[in-house]
Amino acid sequence: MHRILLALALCAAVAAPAAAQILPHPATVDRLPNGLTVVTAPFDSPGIVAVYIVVRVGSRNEVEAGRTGFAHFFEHMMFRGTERFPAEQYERLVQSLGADNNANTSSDRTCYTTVLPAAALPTLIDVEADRFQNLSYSVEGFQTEAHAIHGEYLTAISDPGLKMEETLLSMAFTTHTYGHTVIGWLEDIDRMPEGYDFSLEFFHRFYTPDNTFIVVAGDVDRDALLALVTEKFGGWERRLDAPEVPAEPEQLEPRSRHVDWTGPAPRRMFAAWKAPAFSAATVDSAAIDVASELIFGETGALYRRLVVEEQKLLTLDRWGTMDRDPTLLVLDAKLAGSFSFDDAVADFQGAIDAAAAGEVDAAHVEEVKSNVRYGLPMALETPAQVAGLLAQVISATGDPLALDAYVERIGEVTPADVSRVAGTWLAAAHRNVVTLAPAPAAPAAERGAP
Amino acid sequence: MNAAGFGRAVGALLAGSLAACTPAPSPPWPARGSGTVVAMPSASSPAVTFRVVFAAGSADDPAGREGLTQMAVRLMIEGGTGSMTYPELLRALFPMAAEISWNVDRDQTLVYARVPAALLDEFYPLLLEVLTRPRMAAEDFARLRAISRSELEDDLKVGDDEGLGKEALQAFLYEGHPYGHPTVGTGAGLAAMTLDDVRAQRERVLCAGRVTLGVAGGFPDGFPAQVSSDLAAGLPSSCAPVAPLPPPPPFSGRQVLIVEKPGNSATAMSLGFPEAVVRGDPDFPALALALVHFGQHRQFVGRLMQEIREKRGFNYGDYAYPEHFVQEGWSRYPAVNVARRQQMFSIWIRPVDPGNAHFVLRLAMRELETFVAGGIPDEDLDRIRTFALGYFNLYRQTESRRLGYAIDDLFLGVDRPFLDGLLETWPALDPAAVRSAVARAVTSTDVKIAIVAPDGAALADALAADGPSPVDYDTPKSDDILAEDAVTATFPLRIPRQNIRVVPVSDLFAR
Repeated sequence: MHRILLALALCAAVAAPAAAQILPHPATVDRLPNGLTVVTAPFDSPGIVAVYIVVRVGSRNEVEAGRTGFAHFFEHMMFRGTERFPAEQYERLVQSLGADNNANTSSDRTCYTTVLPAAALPTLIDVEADRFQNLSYSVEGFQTEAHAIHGEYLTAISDPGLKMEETLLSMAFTTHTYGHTVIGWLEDIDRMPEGYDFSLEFFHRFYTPDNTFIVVAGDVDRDALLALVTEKFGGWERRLDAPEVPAEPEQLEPRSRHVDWTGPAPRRMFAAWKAPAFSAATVDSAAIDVASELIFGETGALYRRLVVEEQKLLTLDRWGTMDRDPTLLVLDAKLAGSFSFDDAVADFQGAIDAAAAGEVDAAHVEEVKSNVRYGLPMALETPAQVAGLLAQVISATGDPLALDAYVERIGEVTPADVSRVAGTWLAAAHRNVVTLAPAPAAPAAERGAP
Repeated sequence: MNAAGFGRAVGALLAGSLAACTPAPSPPWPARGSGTVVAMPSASSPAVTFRVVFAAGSADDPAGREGLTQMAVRLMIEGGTGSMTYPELLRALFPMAAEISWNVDRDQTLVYARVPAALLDEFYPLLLEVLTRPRMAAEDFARLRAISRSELEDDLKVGDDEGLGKEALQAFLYEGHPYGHPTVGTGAGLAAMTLDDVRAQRERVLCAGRVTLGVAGGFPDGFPAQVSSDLAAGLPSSCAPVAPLPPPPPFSGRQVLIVEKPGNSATAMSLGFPEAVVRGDPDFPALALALVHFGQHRQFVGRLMQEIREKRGFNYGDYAYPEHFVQEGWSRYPAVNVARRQQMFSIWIRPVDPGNAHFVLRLAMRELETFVAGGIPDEDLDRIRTFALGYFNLYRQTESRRLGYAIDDLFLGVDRPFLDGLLETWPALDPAAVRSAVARAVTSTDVKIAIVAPDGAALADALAADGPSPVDYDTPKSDDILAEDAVTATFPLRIPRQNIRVVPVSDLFAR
């Protein structure tokens, strides 16, 4: 019924806390001579540790034409083995540890996650060090995995939201690589089997110690972990060779697209505004998160009116904004009855403009801070949750300790900050709208503004 | 148990301390009786977690009012209280970062709540009012019914082929049975229900005589007893008795239901059968271990995953389950408090290219036949066991999940805590015991198959013809795989045309 804001829940905010108040025990950060960063986060989970290996490569790094989705694809390839531990042996070894072993990719990072018995940590570090340094797979294995990516795309293809997301990102980002989804364009997915040589280059470009963070949370001793990681990863000597990600030019006027959907579908819209890159250096990121809750959250006046009282919207949800580069604050709304897309956009922008004009409830701002102050400790109940939080911060900033500063920024947000970011970042000129409605006679296609 | 008895059993009761239940065609639900309190105090916990579980679910929906139980709990939780509108309630909970949510399955309805321990005194009156004095107003009913309709028509039937395939399988397995419709309801059921129906359903099933209370975390001494007493006094006292379930409709052979979605770019498949070997059965630990080998959810340890995805790249994943399975959130662990009185074995084939559907179904059925005949190969048993002993131990990392398992133990009447039972039994299992359990519990001959596909008639004809369905890879495959594929391509499915039904998606769950 009530959910904590994603970005806030991940990033935390209290009046003036220190890191030790956020995590049950302070995390420590060590950097090996080769640039590999090791984050140790002790946690009361007897006999269990979570190992999250974060590589700061995601779909934002896919700058070459025809290579969208490759970071995510490569995540799959990391399970295809080495000479020492071929894929089947790697799987069997990790399974023998009783581990929950997986990975996921976002726009900014690829994260390899394992939760396992603490006693098995040395074995895991050994096999992980091997695959991060010596990955080796056959062309046949590479091509087979490419088909699995196609299968992954098929899991979501019936959802109109995927088409809407593709349309929104490509419209909102004309230059920056946030213009495509993490899984990539279908035509690029279908060409993946041809990319074996590129995959080797990709591995050497991005899977480097200076681009990688090992986060271990749970029942772990820092000194023992450092000795272990130094022994196994210390000889890893590659250097990051990342092509520059093109900057997105400032958007100067609102944009919109409509998607006709073959067959039945809800009338649904994404309304998005440009938002700052996640950062603790200024208050803007924190202020956008607070503004998002005040203007569009379930506790705000707009939600109360449009969803509960007038019932013009069936649902009004939001996406988080915790990204490395300037991003989007996205509303996802299903329309009820005859409520028009244009009227919805007018109501959304009207609420923003009112906040920009100073209509910000100071008590509501304090309630957001209270929500995070109380919500964060409850969200850290397992070592995986602790490691996951640190991985998110690393993904966006490259600095595990940025959490502390960001928390301070949240505590500093004032109603004036909310008004300022509403009037700048969330101005109409920065708006991108995608609408979708059924068009039974036409195939899925894009056309102009509604 | 009636309301007067609700508060009797306060304390850290776990199923293992209770007497064994007697298997019966229509056992009581919960097996241990309602009114029990499971308390798991932890002074160091920063939170207090509530799991309030009613012995009620979509199986309690009256005919023609499918979705009524879900609407009743939804209106309780998302409709405000006697003293607060829904927006006012949201605003009151927000500064506390408190959560009140709900879930409905066939036989259980969960109200879940969590609050920082430091704010328990402030939060608890709100939770109690939500549970005992819901607003149940006409304007909120209209809002929430529109949302439920959208979840059925837009989310399930349009945007979620995987979920649709799984619901279609249950509808197929349980035709004419109380489990045969989705918890959200049917189009006709949602249209027909009135606010009076919803209020009456709450009185009938979300009542004191059907509730089991679980509380975990940093609560003060005596708190669970207080909650128990408050619920006994405040929940409706007019419970209807839990109706016994009829047996699942019998069937024989292989039968197919194709849900046709014209223009679909993928084909999703789920298959299964009612399962008699359930928790508490002596064979269940062996069956559960065998299913780790055959298709552990989203793990490469599973044979289906290896053969269909890893070797051939047909899709994203392929899994099998010894009982009804719901993934908990974004984790890969099973949800708790979705326990059922009757169970199903199922296989989930994630979407494939429509052109490969026939072949992949053959591959899955061939694997199922091999599994029925052999269980876990002798040489793999130790590896599977070692994995399972570690992995299943991760299922109980949070207070909430431990609480949920303990409550399910009470509902199902198992003799000792479920996970403990598995972890203590598995080390001694030998291959023969696993084979015996699989042979008893699993069939490859009497199977229902639900398929969401773009080309219903053509697929039905192809399945019935049982002709070769070779697969053309556009990238090289090893000779070993190609040799196996040649066998699979002509593997007989033996599904006569009269056992195959095609329904347009618009007709599914219409009534």
